[in-house]
Amino acid sequence: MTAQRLNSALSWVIYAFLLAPILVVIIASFNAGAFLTFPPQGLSFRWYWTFLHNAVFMRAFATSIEIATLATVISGVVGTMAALFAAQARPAIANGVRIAMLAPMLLPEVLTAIGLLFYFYALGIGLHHGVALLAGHVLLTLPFIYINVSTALKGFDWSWQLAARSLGAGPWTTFFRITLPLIKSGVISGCLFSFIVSFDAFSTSFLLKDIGTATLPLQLFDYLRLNFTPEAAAVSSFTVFATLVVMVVTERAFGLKIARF
Amino acid sequence: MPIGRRRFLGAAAASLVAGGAQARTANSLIVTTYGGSWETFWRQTVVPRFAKLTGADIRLDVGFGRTFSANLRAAGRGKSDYSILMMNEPFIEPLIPGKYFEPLDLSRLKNYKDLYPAAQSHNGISLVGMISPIGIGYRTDLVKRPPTSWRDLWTNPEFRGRLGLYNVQNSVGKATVMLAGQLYGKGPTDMDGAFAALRRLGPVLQTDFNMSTMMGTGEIIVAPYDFGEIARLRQQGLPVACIAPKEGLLMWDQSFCICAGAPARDLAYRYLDFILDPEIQTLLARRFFISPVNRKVVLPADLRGAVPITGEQIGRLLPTDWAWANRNAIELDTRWSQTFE
Repeated sequence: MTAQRLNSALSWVIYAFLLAPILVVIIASFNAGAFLTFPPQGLSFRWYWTFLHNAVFMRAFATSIEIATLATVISGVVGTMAALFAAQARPAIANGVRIAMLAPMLLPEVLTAIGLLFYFYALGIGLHHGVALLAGHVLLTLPFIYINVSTALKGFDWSWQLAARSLGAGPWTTFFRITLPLIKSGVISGCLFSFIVSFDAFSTSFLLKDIGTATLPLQLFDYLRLNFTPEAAAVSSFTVFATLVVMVVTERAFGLKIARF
Repeated sequence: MPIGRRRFLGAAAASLVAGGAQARTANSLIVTTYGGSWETFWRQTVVPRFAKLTGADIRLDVGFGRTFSANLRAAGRGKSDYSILMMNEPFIEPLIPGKYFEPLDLSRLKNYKDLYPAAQSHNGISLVGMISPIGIGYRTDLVKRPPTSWRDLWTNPEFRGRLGLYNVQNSVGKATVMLAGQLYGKGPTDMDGAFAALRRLGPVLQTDFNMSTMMGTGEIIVAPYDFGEIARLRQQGLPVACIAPKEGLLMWDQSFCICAGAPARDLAYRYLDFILDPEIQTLLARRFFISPVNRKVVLPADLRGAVPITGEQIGRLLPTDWAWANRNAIELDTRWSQTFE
């Protein structure tokens, strides 16, 4: 009993340690003063107001949402397909697929980004139309989908599929009515991770952004290089809230019970 | 006719490449600036004015020296989408041997003859469009004996443990090493002399680029500071001041260069001339408190307090050797962290 209590106390300490910095940023964002300081000098929504009326930040926010959504959709489809394939392939092939899918996670992000930068210039596309940026984000997010879907597929009973097929369902029907509902939790949690990772990615966006565009982390970085107002804390806190909203909405809409972990 | 997969991929790739080529046209110029208030000013003032003047399509790109140089190198010489870049000289210097920039055709810049010597091109490749002189900034409420010399950072006991420095990743950090070498060693490139002197500073609070938060909280009370930033902090109500040390000033330069194979070469020169124009220089001084580089600029009376270093005074610069600093970047980095561990 005491061991259990000790355990839960320890968990709380770890949570507090992990969350304290975020809390500091959130409190600092309500600073009424002109400097990014902690503790804040008075409380106000002034910097949220400034941020929400800052067209540059709002555009960057929209760009980040757009890229994170596109990247998540693409990696969601590709990653799920790869996981399904690997789960049914011969061990040697499945291993190869796994290594290939996880490679972007094993390499430092900045190396992947530099590689893509030179690659896209060599192709003659350069950074136009955001192709390189999207490719970078897809690479970055693929492993998260792959890992989550693969985990969901552990212990997946393939005879369900066989049963559906033998009862006359085509491959698409089988996938959408049998397989997908069974691996739903993996796909959704993978997509969530993917969205958040893409939304937060810095090095990839830093090197691969199209001329004239910026994602929110880049905009924030550019802003902080020369301006030091609590607006930066307001932007960060807003991002934290937005992420929480995405998580809560997803949980309510689809359910996030990941029983297989 | 059904479109086969290969055909489709081929067409998609071709359209991408065509789109890429399309962006490099002579009537469309990409201009660059930094984030935050710089971006705001460029979007609201510089870009619309220049677009109106030329009728051209002007696109703004935000980044800084490191991103722009990475892009230039990745694109390859003469293939970049940029025609003109605004960077600091320490970023420009290593790109010169690779011929990423063309020699400046000064005859195309009608404002060039009016530039102060400190802004004129010393390498034939870049010229300085904006100068932010750097002196010593300090908290007027927390410092009893205001500094007058760079040596005060070493000798004034009030500053012990409350001195801020830009670290060696920042060009001002590298300039600080050269300053220490100049003051206490055999010259700006005397690395041993410089680091021996820096060690004597005792504990130092370092920053990559944000000095003002520490100054705001009073963690530091003195630091190398650009006059414009001090003027901004005063506007926000912080009791600070900046002095020009008697030995001379350091500076942050905004240097401009024209990229080799510039897709919009004519527009690039017109843009550079536009930046050097007294009217824009005055606007920049008002917005960023930079010291104008054009001698025809007459600063309005209300700006003279915020922009105290003007005219020939901006020529009182301490010697710096960026080629040396770039060549020895790794050693500077290592020895800096050994000195201030």
